[in-house]
Amino acid sequence: MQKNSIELVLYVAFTSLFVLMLVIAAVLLFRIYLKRKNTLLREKERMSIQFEQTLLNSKLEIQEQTFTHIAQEIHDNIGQVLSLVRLNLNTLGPVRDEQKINLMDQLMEKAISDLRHLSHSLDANVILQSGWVNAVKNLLAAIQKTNTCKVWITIDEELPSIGKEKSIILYRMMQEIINNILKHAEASEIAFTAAKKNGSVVVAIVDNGKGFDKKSVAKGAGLQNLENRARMINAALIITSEPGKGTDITISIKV
Amino acid sequence: MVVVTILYSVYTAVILLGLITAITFRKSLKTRMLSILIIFLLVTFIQESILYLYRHYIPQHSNVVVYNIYRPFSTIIFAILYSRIPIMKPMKRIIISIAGFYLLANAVVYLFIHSIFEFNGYLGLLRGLFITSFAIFFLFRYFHLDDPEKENFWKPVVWISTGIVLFYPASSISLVFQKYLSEFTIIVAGFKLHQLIPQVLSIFMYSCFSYAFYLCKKIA
Repeated sequence: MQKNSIELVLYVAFTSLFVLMLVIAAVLLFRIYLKRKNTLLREKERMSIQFEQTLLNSKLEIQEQTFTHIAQEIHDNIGQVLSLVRLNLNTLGPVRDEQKINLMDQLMEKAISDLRHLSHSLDANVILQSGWVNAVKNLLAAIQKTNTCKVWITIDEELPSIGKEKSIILYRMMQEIINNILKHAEASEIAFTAAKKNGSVVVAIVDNGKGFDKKSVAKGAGLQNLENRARMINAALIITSEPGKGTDITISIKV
Repeated sequence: MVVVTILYSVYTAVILLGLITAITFRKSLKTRMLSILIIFLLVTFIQESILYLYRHYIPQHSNVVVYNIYRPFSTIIFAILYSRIPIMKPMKRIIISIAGFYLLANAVVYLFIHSIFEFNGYLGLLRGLFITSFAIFFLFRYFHLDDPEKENFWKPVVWISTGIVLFYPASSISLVFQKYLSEFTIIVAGFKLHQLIPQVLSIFMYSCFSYAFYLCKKIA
């Protein structure tokens, strides 16, 4: 009987210790869990602020770039044409010179046309009304007309919508890429494809220009802008290029 | 009696399910050093099946010796399992020492104190305490991980540890007080309470094991 009582007391003591250990472990684990949860929350907040800042910087950069583009267009095209018109007006004598008047008329028409193009390329409503695909098609058709490049266009018939904001940004990216091809690539052919793949809209622009070495070429404003814009619309951007082998740019946007 | 048979059948079926899942996903188990659980589940399943037949045909026969051998065996299995997990490296020595101590205690008790055919509550309680400690050590290490990939990779072991932390303390405590509780014969659904608790919790633990094995396959 005595032995049994001692045994029971010992069992109770050991069991209590066991339970105590479990309680302490549970409390400690809960504390670790809370600590981790708070750290994660703080990290999430920090990342959110960082993302907002990056977004703001990107927007400012894009705005700056647009202003530069407007300034260049006014200075290089419209400004030049209007200067020529002014020159012709100054040299216009008292006698009606039909040839000069016709030339001025043509120059004014060009100025108006350039202004319209500039206005269309900047107006987001035009992109939204016709859709980003048609806007890109128009852009490429204009290039085709100049006979500088052959253009190949392949577009899936039922391309899903990517939303207003993404459409505008994607179109701006296309403009940037096409401008880069015209300025630097010396390409004779451009192929544009837009397709739906695994729940994403995949857009690719391939040229047969001189290409570049991604490792040796430092990231210029153009590439940086593309990357920023891709980040803004949560798109995957893949740039493949080699000297002499053209450039392949693929943008994949989750629908 | 019917309830007892059903519960026992569920219990054996859950162990078998664990064993089948473990064998099916053995390659995934190997990447997480969990292959040893195949041996553990196989031994447990064979032992429980034989003991069921024993209880059925020779009810007066004592099964104490079987559990006296099974207890150090399961302690070694879990000591090997947890000490081999890479994130448990700082705890490896402690786990091996604990397992060594437990083996020594078993040897001393059964060689010098009393026969292996007699029940020893302290050893039962110690086994529960040690295996639960291993699982808690793992959970501590896991919750200190900073790498989401690693966290995801070791998630199956969290399920195993959760099962252990719930089953072993309750089963050890009810086993220790078996002698005293049996005097009151508290019956729940035709089952003695001190037998019902470990049985139900072991069903939960082996289900956790099966789910953990499935997660091993799912989280490549």
